[in-house]
Amino acid sequence: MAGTHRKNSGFTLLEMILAIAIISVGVLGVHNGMAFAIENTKKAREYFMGAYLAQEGVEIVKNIRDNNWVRDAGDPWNQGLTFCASGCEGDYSTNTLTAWASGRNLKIDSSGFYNYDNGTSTVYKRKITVTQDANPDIMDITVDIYWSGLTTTVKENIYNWYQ
Amino acid sequence: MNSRLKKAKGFTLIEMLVSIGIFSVLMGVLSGIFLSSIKSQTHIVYTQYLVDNSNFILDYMGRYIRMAQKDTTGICLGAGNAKDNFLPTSGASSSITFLDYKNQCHRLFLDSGAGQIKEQIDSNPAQVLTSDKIKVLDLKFNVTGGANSDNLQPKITIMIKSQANTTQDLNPLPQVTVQTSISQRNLDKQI
Repeated sequence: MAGTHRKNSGFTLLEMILAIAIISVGVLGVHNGMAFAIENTKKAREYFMGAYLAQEGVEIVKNIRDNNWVRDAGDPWNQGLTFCASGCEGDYSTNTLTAWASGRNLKIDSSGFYNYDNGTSTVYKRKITVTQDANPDIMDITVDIYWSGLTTTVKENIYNWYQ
Repeated sequence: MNSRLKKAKGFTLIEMLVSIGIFSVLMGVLSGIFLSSIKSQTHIVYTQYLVDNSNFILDYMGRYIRMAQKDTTGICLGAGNAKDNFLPTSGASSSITFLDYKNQCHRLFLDSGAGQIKEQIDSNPAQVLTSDKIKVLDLKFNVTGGANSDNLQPKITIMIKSQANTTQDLNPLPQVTVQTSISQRNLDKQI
């Protein structure tokens, strides 16, 4: 009887080590999963902001096209866009594009707007490429946003619809 | 019988102390990880609220701004600004007024006290557009070419900076700043 008791009196060291190892693997797994989720949320937020900056790039190009018509000076519809086949840059504050050199980071100015001239640098770079389509009345726009090794791209076609 | 009782009497004090010690260290580590996971999860949920709300607001405002039309009579912008498209006609501001595609006088603005973005249509009471899960810290519209005579197509740049609206200690509180520009669709030919 005494012998039976001794055998049932608790866990052996090996059992304890195994149990702790299994629990640790489980807890570490959960912890790593959480870290992964945090990292992905951060990325999702950056993609979201990048996507709207890309949309802004398309709107800047459309605005330049529309200005050519509104000015009513007989300018070609795609004036100011034709030299952007290998990339351009432009921000909200100007009505023109400049050629993409090595790519400048967008900055945030004191009122909170992304621009190239003043403020603190952000991680984002924006490349606006406008190429002539086979049809002379269509231009193809590609806007690439680059940051921290990630990229998001928006494509759009604009048409010479106004006579 | 006597010796059997003595052998089965339980744990010694040392055994108890050691096992309680191990147990508390383990529980301490586990609950620490659990609590930090809950905090991270709350952080993630609020970041998602911020992204969703900013997305909705930009889409909603963008649609109306894109489809805005020239106020030929000044019914919305006032007689002094007849034929213009937007008020203000240029520069940055926390509110914007225009004649929308339903011929309503539409005003979008920041209520900085409440931290909400609101819209006012004609002379109806202002409506809140943002969720109470977020606090809008800043809203700016930068207008280029909003006047009739400037020979420019109107371009509105919108910037929204928002933060989680919670009293929980999420150090730091999640924030999202998003910007986009909208070029008006109707051509702003001078009249």
